[in-house]
Amino acid sequence: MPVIETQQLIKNYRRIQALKGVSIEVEKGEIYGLLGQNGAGKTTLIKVLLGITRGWEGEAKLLGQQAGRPEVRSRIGYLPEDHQFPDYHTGYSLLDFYCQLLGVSRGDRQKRIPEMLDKVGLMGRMHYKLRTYSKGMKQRVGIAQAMVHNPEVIFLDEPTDGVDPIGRREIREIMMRLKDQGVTIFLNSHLLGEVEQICDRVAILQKGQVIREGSIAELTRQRGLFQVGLAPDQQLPKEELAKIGFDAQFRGEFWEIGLTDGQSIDSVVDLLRGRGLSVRHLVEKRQTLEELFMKTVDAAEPGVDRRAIRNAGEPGAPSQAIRK
Amino acid sequence: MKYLAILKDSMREAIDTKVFYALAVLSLLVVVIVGSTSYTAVDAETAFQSIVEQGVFHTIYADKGNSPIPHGSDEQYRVRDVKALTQASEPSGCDHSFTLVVAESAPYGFHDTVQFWASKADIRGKRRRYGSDGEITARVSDAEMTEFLKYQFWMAGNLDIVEIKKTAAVEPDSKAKLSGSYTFEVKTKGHAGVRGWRHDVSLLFGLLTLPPALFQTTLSKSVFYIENTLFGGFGAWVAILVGVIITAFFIPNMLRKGTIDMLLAKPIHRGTLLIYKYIGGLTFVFLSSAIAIGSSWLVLGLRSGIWSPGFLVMIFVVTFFFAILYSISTLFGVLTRSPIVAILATCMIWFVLFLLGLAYQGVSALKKEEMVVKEMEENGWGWVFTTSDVVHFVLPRTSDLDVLSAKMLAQVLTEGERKSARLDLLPDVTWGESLGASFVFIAIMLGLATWRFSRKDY
Repeated sequence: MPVIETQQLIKNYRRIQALKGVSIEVEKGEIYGLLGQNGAGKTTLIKVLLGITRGWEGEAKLLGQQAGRPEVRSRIGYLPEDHQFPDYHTGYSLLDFYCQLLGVSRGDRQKRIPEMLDKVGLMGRMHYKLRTYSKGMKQRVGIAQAMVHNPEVIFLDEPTDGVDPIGRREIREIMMRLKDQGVTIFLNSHLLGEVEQICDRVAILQKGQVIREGSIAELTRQRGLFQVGLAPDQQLPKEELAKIGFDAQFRGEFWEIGLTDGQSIDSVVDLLRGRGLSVRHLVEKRQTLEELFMKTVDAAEPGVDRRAIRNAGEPGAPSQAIRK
Repeated sequence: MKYLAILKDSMREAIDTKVFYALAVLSLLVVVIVGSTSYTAVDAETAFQSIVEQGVFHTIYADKGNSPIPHGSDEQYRVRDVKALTQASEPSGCDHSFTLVVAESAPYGFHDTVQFWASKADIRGKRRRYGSDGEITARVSDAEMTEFLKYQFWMAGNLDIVEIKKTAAVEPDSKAKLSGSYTFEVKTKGHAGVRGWRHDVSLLFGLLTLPPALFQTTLSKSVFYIENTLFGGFGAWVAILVGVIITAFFIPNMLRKGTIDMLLAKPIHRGTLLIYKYIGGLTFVFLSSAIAIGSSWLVLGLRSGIWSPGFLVMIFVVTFFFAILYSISTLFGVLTRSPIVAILATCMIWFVLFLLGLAYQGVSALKKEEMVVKEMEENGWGWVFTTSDVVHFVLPRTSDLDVLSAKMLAQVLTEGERKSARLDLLPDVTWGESLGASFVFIAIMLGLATWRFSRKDY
């Protein structure tokens, strides 16, 4: 049974459609990444699932229960984007406060809070007021509070925002450890390299609709484009390949051969071997997640760089579009 | 546990503000002042002369003190030949005798004063001093004079006069414009307690004696003044205002983007969250009041010997008064997410309630004068009474709380002092009705706030 499940989820903010029939499924133990531009509906989707936003249509389930029900929230961890923790708290007292709201017993709180703050590198500062913390430290506190009660699902909205590279790596490692423990992580991030490194599956949200979804491997694979490398001093018979319908281009260290419908790379390999050439490198070429994202978003609506025009009328977008 | 967590969070937020420390310092200062105040009983001659010199003694209410409309009298009273007839450790415990001389400032002035006191007042409170021919018509008997003086001494000075008789007089002559003077021999009975006796007041354990002309009064009045005016009036007003300012930030701060998300993602219903936050604000004010009033009650009791349980009830009265205002602040906090709007709206409504309360008290006092009611109704002003009653019925009873607490704190006063304070003119309100109506108002405010909070997207 999916841990998170939405079917044709629709959410309108008055006349603005923030989610237009979003359907996703997240399985237990997955790290699921949600990508999209600002205003695409990523945060709205999380808020619907957690009951922070109401008045939606369709189906949304969290841990088998209808989204938004208070009972299920004790099994959830959440770090919102642009969080503002009350700065009269210390790191310790903030976690203690949230844990009490989550129903964590005093004994567990006393044990888990220092452990968690130690895990995010704040042990030495846990009794300092939050107003003395840097942005990165506040982010770490946020991550700690999302994990401290051992939730089954954690929603992280831009968790590494403001964190330095070493801190980011530590946070990635924490997420991987949680995944190993069977915790499901729902991640919103603009850092595509990071998402690519840790997510099992991703969905790309564009103007409230899922336009691509799949595993990282599936999405980044470029079907029909192979890289071929031969032994040193051997030349690729480009003309002969062209005669049988293959176009080969030398890019960087390798030849790139594109396949059209019905063609197989086996024909190329057979020809090369038949000529006594040694194939030392043969891989189906992948693209980065960033390349995929740019391509997908652009394909869904060309001209994505004209953000002011595209985003006009979306939640959080300027009220007047600027046209050049 | 959730309630305690939110309560603790509210306390942290309150204590984080500088205003809280200002309030704490102010409270401490008041407690120190009250705790260092000393009361010294004055001698009998000073006490009796002081009684006849004070303004209350010269304030006359018609209908033998029952009319709501005060009038001044300008006779001169002089006390002499004060003698203790019995022995007691305190002058208040002795029986005394003294001579009282009343000197008129105009012919038949004293007769006029006594006659006015004994008569029913009309709406304008005119003294019927002259007849149609310009001749002075006021004439009172010796018995009426002594009855009047007994009442004034009882009302203004807690003196129990057991015997009073006119022993000499210089009769007035209106044609010759000669004012009269009257001499009375008075015997008083001592009291067991000292609370009704006049005392000098000094601060800082006797280091700073306050001017007797302004501050010499009975012990019970001093305590009543401290409890009702300093704490119940001005002190409560300041404490509630500071409470309103501090707690007005609670709800808007909770509703900030990035803060509310965290709370709404926790397993707690929105309504519960808001109500707990509201109770958190109340608890803050309750604890602050309990500390300030409780410590003041203790030091005041130790210094004066008067232990007034009604003063401790003020902790709940102040908290309930604040609960009415905080429900308004909560509603505006939810609607606007702005602490400034919440403070301004609360203070504005508070001020309006205060004015309406004053108006209701005024109208209630008038209603106690039958002649006033009759004349107003005859002149088509009867709607004032109906409107006043309707407005009072539907609005929260902040002014009732003032009235009820004043009556409660007045238990420390003697019977005569209660009469002189004219508490009988205050509206006849009850705790049950006032608290009930105010509870309904709070419930409506919180209901609206919860309804809005539960349905809003964050």
